[in-house]
Amino acid sequence: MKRRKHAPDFVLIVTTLLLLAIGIVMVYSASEYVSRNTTRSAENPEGYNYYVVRRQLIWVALGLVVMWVGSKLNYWRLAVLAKFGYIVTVIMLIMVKIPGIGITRYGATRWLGVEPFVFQPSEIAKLTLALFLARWLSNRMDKIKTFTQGLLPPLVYTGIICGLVMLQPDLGTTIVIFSIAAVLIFVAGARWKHILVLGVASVAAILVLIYIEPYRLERLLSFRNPWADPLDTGHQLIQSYYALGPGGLFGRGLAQSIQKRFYLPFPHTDFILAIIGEELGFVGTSLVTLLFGVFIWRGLRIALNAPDNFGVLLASALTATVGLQAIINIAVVTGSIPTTGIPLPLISAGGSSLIFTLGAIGVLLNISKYSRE
Amino acid sequence: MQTRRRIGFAMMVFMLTIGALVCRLAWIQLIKGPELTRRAVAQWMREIPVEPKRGIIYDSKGNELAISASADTVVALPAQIPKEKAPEIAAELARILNKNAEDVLKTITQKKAAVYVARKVDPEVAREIRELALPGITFTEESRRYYPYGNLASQVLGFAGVDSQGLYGLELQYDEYLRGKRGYLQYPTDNQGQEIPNATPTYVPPQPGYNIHLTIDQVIQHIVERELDNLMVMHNAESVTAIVMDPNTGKILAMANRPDFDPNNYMAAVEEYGSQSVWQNQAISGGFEPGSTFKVVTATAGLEKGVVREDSVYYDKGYEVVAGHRIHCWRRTGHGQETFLQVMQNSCNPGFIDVGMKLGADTMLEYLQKFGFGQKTGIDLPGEAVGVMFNKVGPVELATLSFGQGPSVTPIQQAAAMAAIANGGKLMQPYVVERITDQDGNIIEQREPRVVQQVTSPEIAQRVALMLESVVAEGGGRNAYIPGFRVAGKTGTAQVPKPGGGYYPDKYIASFSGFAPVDDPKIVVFIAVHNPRGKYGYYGSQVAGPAFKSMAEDILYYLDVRPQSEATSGKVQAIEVPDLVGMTSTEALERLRDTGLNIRIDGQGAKILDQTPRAGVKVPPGSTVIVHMGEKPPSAGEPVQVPNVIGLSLRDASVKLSAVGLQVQAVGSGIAISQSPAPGTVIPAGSMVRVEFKP
Repeated sequence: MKRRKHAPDFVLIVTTLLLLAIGIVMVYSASEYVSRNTTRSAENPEGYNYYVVRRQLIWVALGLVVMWVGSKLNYWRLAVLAKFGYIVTVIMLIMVKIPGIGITRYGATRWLGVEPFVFQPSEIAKLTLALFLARWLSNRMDKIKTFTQGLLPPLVYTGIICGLVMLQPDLGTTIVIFSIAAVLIFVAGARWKHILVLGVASVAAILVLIYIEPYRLERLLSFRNPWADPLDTGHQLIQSYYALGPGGLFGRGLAQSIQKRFYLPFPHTDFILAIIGEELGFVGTSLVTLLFGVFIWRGLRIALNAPDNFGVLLASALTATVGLQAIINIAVVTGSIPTTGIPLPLISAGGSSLIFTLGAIGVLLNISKYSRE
Repeated sequence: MQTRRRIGFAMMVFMLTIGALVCRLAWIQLIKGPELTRRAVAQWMREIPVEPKRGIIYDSKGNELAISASADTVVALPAQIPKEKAPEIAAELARILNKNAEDVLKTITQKKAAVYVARKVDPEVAREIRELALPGITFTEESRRYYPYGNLASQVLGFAGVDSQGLYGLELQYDEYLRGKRGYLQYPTDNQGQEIPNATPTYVPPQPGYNIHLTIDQVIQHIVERELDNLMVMHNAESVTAIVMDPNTGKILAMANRPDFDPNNYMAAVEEYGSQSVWQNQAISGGFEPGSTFKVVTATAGLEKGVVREDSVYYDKGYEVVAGHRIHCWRRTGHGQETFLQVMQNSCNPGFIDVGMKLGADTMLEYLQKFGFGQKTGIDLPGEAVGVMFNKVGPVELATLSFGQGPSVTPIQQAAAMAAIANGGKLMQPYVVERITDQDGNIIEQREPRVVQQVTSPEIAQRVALMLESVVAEGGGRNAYIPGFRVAGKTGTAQVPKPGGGYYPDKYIASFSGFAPVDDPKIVVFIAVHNPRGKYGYYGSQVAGPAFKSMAEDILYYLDVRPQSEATSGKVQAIEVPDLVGMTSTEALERLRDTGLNIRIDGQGAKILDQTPRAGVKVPPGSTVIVHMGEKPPSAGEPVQVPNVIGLSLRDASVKLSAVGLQVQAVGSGIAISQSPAPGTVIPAGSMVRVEFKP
């Protein structure tokens, strides 16, 4: 196969940098008040002395390096790592569950590493599974129409990862990982009939999960009318609305948010879009949303023009990783779907996920260098 | 090719989703924005209330009877008080405010946005706290109520509590007008109650309360209260009540009771009397049997129904037998043959029983109702009583009712009933608030006089008025006579019923109800003295009559009503002063009772030694005879003990010595420094005692 190298996708770079810049400014704005008005404690490891924004700057710098490296590595060389990455991911996901190794934060055990250098294996899982499935499917494009040889194996590989993530438990990430796999299988050319069955099966699976843990149903439904239970399940969403609503068209002005002052939980992470909405208004939120739209457009365009099947599938999967998380986050903040803890890629504060996201974008940029155009 | 289509399809789904999310954001931020903002603001805002200034209460001449002045209230904002500094701050506050430090600490560490530490403190205290500039301690201005005239009209005005809420009297009745509307200072806070820096607070200023203007005239009120104080002292009374009313309009010109209280310190009187009843306005809430003042009702009904005329003749044998019961006249011997006019002048009970019997129970009750008894007058004051009427009227009840025994009525009902006679038969609704104005003087409400009903025709009212004038001019009400004025009125001496039935043998209510001038009445005055126990007895004529005279005279002159001596001189007969020397005070009171002369008893002793004017002098009715009490001096030669006069003046020494029948031989002038014989020596009466005086 002939690969002609040229400049990476400029629009994607600009979009990424714009989102990062908005992120840094908004993480600063959203976290400064809490940061100045709390002292460090076990429950509040980040809430002091501009800790959040200083860390964010470091992560962004590191992430940009990773992105640069990713864009320099020829993407087809990554195929070699696919199987290895998958196995390591499974091992790490199992390690999280081993007492004394997994690190607990905010009441959930999802992290590995040595403080403060910790990361979530489930973050890595998104990428390693994408890589693994892209490689596996690109080698079997002819068999994808069959159930046992084409469709079932990737579902099993995905199921193993999802099952392990679900054990943490982390429903949000599970759904993201499954969706990435679903996009890959769809793009690879699975039969519509199979996809339909798969869809029905997923809905059934979700219903089973709800049946096992009924609190999920409450959570699932509370987003429809958060005021029914304003102190408990509806609280976050109400506070998100109280940021978005008063923001109006142009917002209260940068740094002027009231909701960030102890009203809205996680103002600089999962609900940062609400603070953007309060300070910069509908103009700010729609700009961010449309930037993700541009990101998806450019990402899928790179996939379309990738020189080989592996490139097509990998680019689709990486674009979906970023795009799906953005969509889910915005949907959560606007009360369009049940609340799940998914950060807004490139914008929310959060170390490891930023590194992995930028790494993925680096790979995407590398693929764009070999576009057939 | 299929992969390209699939990616295109995915792209479409993604873009539609992005579009949907943008729409969703627009819906929340633009369409739902105002509604969500309203809710969010409710969550963010903390309010510091700002009390409005309570309205002023003016008398009819614009004098301020109740005013509000600003006072600082100490407020703590617990969220702004550093935890470690709280005990120190509490200690400082406790020291200045003279409070318990632990209580203050508890107060200022409550989990509230703002708490009161001390309400309405004195200016010096506020300044001292301000100078300390304690963190989280701030001030808010509240209004504090002052009553510049102290006790004046206390039960009418009532008072307002610490939250400026009306609790009694007019302050309660007109609270919603006086109160005003609360304002507030609103500022956004974070979720821990901290004020957000640089945020602009909204200030909604309070609306001051409306001012009310009374019909009460501060000068008339002063005159009335002065007389009430005299009555309390002179007659050692339990309580007294007086009402002065304009009969033509129903305006209350004065209303007062004793005992009273100072609304500036309304708890002090409760501590003194041990009961909050001192706050109650007995003039409208106190019910008692009216006694003879009630005969006005019987007379009106009798004249109107034609069962009796002024010249109808009645023979009083001292009692009347009703359904087998013998009901006595206050004069046991009876008044003999008399006209109905004389029956009224003499306040003869059997004469009224006769009229009552002729009228019948239904007519009597009808007139009671017409005069407004058994129902509230509707005066604009809280706590008015209805009184008690008979629920079943038999012959005996009818008989006693006709001279005012049995039902229980309030002073305001009696004043209003008398006003109906004075003004030509109209029952006027009494009122105390003339006008309500806002801060700029615009009239919010203006009260107009209201006629409740026509009680009787103007002609009948006029005839009753003339009968009542004769009561004062030549009957039992002569003690109330004011020289130069045509005065009408009726005395009353009611017994106090025992809770179980029957009457207390020694408890009376002496009352007087009257008006003046008869031809153009300006004032109705009602006075009731509860349980007088002094040396002047308990009769309405001798207790309440003179007080009426003093009050009405001063009020008439104040109202610029000039005396018209020629109008009255024809009717009034001068009275010859009887000889009272040698009588006991009780005998003298009894002797003067029918004469219309007032008495003032000076000095101590069992018998009257001397009197002014002397016996035989002719004076107008209502004049006062001053009697000097003392023991009769021992006759000459009787052994007496020499009293000690050292340290006395010449006058006092000679009074003391002459009291025991000794004479003074004064040497020098000034104060007695020695005497001879020495004190305690027994010498014959009539002897000389030599007393040396030095300046």
